[in-house]
Amino acid sequence: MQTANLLIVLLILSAVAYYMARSRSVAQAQSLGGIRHLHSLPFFYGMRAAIWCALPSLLLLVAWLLFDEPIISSFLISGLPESLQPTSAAEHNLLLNSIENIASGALSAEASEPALVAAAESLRGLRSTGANLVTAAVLSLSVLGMGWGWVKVSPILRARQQVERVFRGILLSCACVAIFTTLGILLSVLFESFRFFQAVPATEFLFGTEWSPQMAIRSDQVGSSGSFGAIPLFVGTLLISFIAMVVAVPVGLMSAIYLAEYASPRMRGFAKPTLEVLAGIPTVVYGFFAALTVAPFIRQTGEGFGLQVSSESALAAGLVMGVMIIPFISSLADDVINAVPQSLRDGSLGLGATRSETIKKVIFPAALPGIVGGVLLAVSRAIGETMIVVMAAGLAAKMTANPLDTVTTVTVQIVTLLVGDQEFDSPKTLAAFALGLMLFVVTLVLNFVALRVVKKYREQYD
Amino acid sequence: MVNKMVTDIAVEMPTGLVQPEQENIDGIEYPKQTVGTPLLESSKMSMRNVDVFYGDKQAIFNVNVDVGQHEVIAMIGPSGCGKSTFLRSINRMNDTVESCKVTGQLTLDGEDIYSTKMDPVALRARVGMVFQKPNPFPKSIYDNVAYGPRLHGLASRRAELDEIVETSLTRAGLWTEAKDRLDQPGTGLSGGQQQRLCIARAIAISPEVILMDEPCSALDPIATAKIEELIAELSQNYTIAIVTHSMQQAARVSHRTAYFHLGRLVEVNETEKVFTAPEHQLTEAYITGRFG
Repeated sequence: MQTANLLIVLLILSAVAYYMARSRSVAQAQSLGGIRHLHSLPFFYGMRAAIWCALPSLLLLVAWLLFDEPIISSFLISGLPESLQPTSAAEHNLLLNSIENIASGALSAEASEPALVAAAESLRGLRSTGANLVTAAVLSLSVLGMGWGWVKVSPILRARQQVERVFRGILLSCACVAIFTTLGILLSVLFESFRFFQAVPATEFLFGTEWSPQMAIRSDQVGSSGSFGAIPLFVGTLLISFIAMVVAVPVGLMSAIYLAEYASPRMRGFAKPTLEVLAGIPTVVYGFFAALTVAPFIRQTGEGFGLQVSSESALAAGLVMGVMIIPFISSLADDVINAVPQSLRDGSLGLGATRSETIKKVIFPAALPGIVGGVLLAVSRAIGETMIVVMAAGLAAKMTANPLDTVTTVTVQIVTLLVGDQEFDSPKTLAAFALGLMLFVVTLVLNFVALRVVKKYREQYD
Repeated sequence: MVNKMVTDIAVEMPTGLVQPEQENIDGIEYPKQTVGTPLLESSKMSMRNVDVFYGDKQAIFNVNVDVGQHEVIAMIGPSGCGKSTFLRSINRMNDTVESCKVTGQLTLDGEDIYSTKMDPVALRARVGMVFQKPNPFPKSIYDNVAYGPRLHGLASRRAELDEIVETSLTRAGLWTEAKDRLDQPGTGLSGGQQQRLCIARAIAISPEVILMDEPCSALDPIATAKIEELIAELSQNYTIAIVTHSMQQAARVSHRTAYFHLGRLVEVNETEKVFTAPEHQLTEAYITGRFG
């Protein structure tokens, strides 16, 4: 039976289990004189039976889906004659692939090795037996569970506790999904970076000032050894992020102050959502806005002043990225400023402070920890931003602080390293993982510092 | 201090306090005009025909009252009777409430508080305010007290500022407790100390009038007693208007007491008189605890 059909059957079975156990508990309660004589509500008896019916068989099914391929393939390989036994992992995979292709008919059986045709035959056989076996096992397990759930129903059964324990487990595993995903990503990046650092020394990567990741595939090619100094990339990233923050922090903060302290409710009701629309624009739209509108404009203006402006300047990417971050900062700062208690405003105004004095001397300092935290979060966003810089910043890794020059960023390089045909044992490709790891570490440190700053100020101000 | 009260009603008393169609308690009607001695011969502040509205809702109805120089006047009345609203009208704190509108004439030393020439910022420097909940700024104790003097440029040198801080804290009875921890946050003090810090902060800019809006309602009895002592001392130098929920407190600290009822000023009399022989039945009903 197909897995989807099996799941539907399981669902129906557990619904049946629910109703049977529930009505049994109700019937038992009636003879005792009401539901209050049961330990748990009938719902829990039903749920307990449904869980017994569905959960063990589901686990069995999942286990089979996870492990059927390796089990079947080890059967196949061991059934092959001595001459065909694979010697390496690559050969092993190749062999399995051709068996698979013969079995599905993509490779004609006549043109193939007879041993492989036989293996394909047995693959089909193994698959169908395996599926049948599992279907039978899953169904019988669920019927057994249903029966167990039904038999155990009694007024003293602590069904509620058992059901709640299962639900707590489900909630916990949901929480674990995010954690394990992060851990998995981190481990894979770490592992690949480790392979990269075996090929390229970490000191060269961290302190090298030249980035040209061209690796020769054959030894006689030109430029056979690339250089992997990441400093120019980080300089470019920091330059663009800096320009973005120079735009976003003052504009964002001041708009937040206006919205929170000066705007009339009507103005606020209009301006705040409008500002937040900015946050909803996809970054790719910002990207071509930067590349097609802002960059040429900056170039023309710069040339009007007699300045040398490259067509993909750090300034263009930074400005547009800054605009993108404005709503992020303004909405965070607005929340923080609004959270400053009205009593502090009253206290300051009551001492004869003007509104702007109150904002500068009381509200802003009181809101500062939140604002600093928001700004640091915005910085880590700017550093990790990809789409705008891919479209508007250049590819040439230059060490420059000139915003009119072209620079490249870590994220841009990761994209270019991984686009196109790749070989996953070349340092060129692995460099993307090392860069990713660096980026991860930098944003992690930033977030950590942001949280510490917020906490420190909070201790001081509460 | 004793302000001479106007006993004959020769000082023309605007009429119209009564809104006969309004609700009343136990069939007791509002007096034709505020009974007792609301008006003084010479006054620090005077309020005439004051109405306060929140949007369409009227919160204060035609209040007429004077506050004498260096007098402590207590404002009592059941919750929602408008005493806090009235207090906040005196230093234009209600300006920050968008829907609030104040009409009538309020003067400080003869100057119209609500005239266009009066700058609310300058006014609030002359009429300080202490709030119900202690609201020290999230700054050090020193900076809290120095906040006002710095704003108004009252000290040109650090030593002068130090002196202002010390005098204010001493007057507020906080100096001995706070002198060793001036650089620590004011929010780290206990509730009663915080409220005294707020009083120190208010008197640091040498206001002429101090408004107190239930300054002890968030404090324990010991802290309350300290604040009350403080009010008695401060009354030698300042004019104080205090809103309070506690009739005992009004009796202890004030010279005159004003009784508000649903936005009307029913009676103003010497405190002793209000609590021993109230002139109006509504006042009597309130102080004997028949409602409130």
